[in-house]
Amino acid sequence: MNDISARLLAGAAVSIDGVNLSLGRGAARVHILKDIGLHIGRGEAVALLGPSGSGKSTLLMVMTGLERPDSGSVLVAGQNLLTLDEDRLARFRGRNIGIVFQAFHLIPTMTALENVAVPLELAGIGNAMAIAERELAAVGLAQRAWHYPAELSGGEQQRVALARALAPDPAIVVADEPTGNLDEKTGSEIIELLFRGQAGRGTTLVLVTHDAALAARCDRVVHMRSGHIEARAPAESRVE
Amino acid sequence: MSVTLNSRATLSTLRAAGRSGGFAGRFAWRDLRGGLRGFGVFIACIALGVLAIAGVGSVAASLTDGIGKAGRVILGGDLAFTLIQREADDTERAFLDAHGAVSAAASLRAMARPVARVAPAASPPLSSAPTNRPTEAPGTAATLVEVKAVDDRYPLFGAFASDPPLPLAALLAQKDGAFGAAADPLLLTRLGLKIGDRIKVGDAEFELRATVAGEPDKLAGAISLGPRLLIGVAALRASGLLQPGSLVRWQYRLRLPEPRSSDGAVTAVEKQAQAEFPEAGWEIRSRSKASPQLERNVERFSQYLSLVGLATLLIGGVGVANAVASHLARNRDTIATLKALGAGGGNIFAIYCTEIITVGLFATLIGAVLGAALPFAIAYFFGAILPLPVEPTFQPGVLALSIAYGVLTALAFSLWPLGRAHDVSVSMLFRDQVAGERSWPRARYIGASAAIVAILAALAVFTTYDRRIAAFFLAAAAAVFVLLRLAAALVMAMARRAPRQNSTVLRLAIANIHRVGALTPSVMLSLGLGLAILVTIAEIEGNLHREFAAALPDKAPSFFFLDIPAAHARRPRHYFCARGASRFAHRRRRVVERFLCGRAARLARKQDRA
Repeated sequence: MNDISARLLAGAAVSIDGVNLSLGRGAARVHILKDIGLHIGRGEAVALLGPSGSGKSTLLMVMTGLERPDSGSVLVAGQNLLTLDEDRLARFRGRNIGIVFQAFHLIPTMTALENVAVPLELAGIGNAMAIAERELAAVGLAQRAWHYPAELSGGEQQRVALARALAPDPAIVVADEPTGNLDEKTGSEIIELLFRGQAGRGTTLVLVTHDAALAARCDRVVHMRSGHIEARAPAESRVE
Repeated sequence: MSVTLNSRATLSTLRAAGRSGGFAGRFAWRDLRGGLRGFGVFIACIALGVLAIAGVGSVAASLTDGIGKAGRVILGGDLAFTLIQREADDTERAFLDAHGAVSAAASLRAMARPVARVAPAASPPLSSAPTNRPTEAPGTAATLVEVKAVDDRYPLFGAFASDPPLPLAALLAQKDGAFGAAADPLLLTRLGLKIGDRIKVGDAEFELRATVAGEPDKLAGAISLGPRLLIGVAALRASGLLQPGSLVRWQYRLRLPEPRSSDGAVTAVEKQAQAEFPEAGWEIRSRSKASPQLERNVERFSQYLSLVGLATLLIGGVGVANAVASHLARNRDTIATLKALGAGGGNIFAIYCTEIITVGLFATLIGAVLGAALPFAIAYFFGAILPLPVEPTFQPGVLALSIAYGVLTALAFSLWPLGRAHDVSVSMLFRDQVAGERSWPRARYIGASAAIVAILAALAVFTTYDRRIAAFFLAAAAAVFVLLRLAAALVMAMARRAPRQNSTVLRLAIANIHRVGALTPSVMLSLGLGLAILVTIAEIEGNLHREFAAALPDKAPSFFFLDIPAAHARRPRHYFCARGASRFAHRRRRVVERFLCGRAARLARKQDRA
């Protein structure tokens, strides 16, 4: 790593260099990420745009430490994820990275409030329930705190998931197609909440989407195709 | 080195489990509070196995306690001194009288003949069935009886019951030229008699005044070959059966005075008797060993049933493993979500291990409670008809052991799937395909499973009556496990290599046999183990039966004709010879001769003289 790179990394929330990743075995092995390099600044909102199978979600997983690359380096909030063992990586993720899934992935046996409290409890934060209650109120679900996911609509479930991702006040929030399972109106509400939360806290946002209009709301759009980040415009463009 | 690494890994897991202990408990509670859906098989497997072990142990302990507490009644005293073929001499009797109340009873086998019946002369029927039936000939119809002659102090403990109820003195007293007697109802049936009829035993005549409804010291008696006939000692002396060499057992039961009847006092008297009368040749039994053979039999029987219970628990263990694996499979999404939110593999293990231990304890307690209630239920519903004294008691030791078995079995069969949960991939949250998951858990979980299995085996071996049998059982169980697992692997390999089928249904069926996560191993283990246990029990029973059948012709006759009158002693030979089988007749002849050379010959000669 040269001096220029080091200077760049000092201000970066996410710094990925030379990442390659293949999955599967034998003849079924597929090279999914090919020599990926990506740097995202603190507080920046970046959209990963590309067709299905281009490697967007896998890059998100590498960024969150859920998948280890075959080669390259991954730094998130100044921490090299590849040097952490599984338990330390999990703890790091719990405190520094919030994740919003397309399919919500709330825990069905817990109430909305308990779902929001889960990452706080895992991180060992004492007043987990009070913080969770505040986060639920911020997404407009204070009255639904004691409802189970099955008793909530899709939009409400995604709002709970958003509150859960923001509750530990993470350095980076990643969202994988957050509106993919919602109707247009509800999706818009969720996006509003997401950007409002990101802007209000100065959190870095990495958003995976197929929706070019949604991507356009981000500070930067990164185009992916066949495991590569496209090098020239419109591969990576700054939104004015 | 690997040991050090494993130790570090285990310590790391334990630390993680400790840190997440509170969260694990909270999460387990949140997950279980909605109900135990999906745990039905798990609970049934553990509860049934624990019920079997706790129930058998509690019933056996209650029986042993009952026999122990009823020791005085069963023995008929605090101590019993038995002499064969002779009565206690004056010095011996004085020693016994000096230590407390003494009751003397004599027992012997004799022939009883009705005296009041008149029937036309006829040959005694001979049938192929073993028989003690009386002959129909007048004055010669007779049957073997177990005579017990008691003095006026009988019984020292418990109560003798007759039907109709009569005081024992009145029941046995001499009246109108006949002594009184109480008989087993079977004797009346065999000889076609009723209450008030008379029989003759030896030279004495007896009036049957009642039937025996309850004999407190019956369990301590020897093997019975005929129905009981209770008479007085004076009547026995008048019968002329007390001859030099007569096979009479004289038993002197001693009741120590209450303030000096402790176990220590009983032992002291026993030792004193042995020291003062080393040549007496009497067998001394104390109330604590009223029926040692019976206690041994109860213990062995309970051990056998306990091993069957343990086998049930082991088979249930396969069900437990399947149930836990299914539970975790249903919760894969939740596990992956938790990991994405910051839970490590150790946290996941701690959460689900807490759940499994909680449900396992619940199932174990159900089994233990039902097992503890079993002796009470048996005593309540069947106490009146059981020939053994059941003293239903709460057996903490037995229940603790069964709970330990239940929890250890639940853990032994759960740790493997729980260990695999440690490595559930989070990628399923982002894409449908799940790749690269480990099929074997980490070494620390394999080690923990092995340790718990070892503890379970040690518990089974060191808490059973016969450790060798328990060790064989465990070795056989382990061998069956390995063999069935290998057989499952073979079946899966064969299915994998099977030629491609044209039929879609057949192709799917074969693929389901060998696909990743196929149920083939668990199905083969469950069915195989269940069948193995059934076949084992059937084989044990069959082997015992065959062993008896093979041993009998050389060691014992197939039929006993115990009550053939002397006048008809030759008739069996004619009867069998007339039906052809010379070898058969020859064997029977030997049996008859052997019998007639014994006591019956003397009785027959005596009858002839009379």
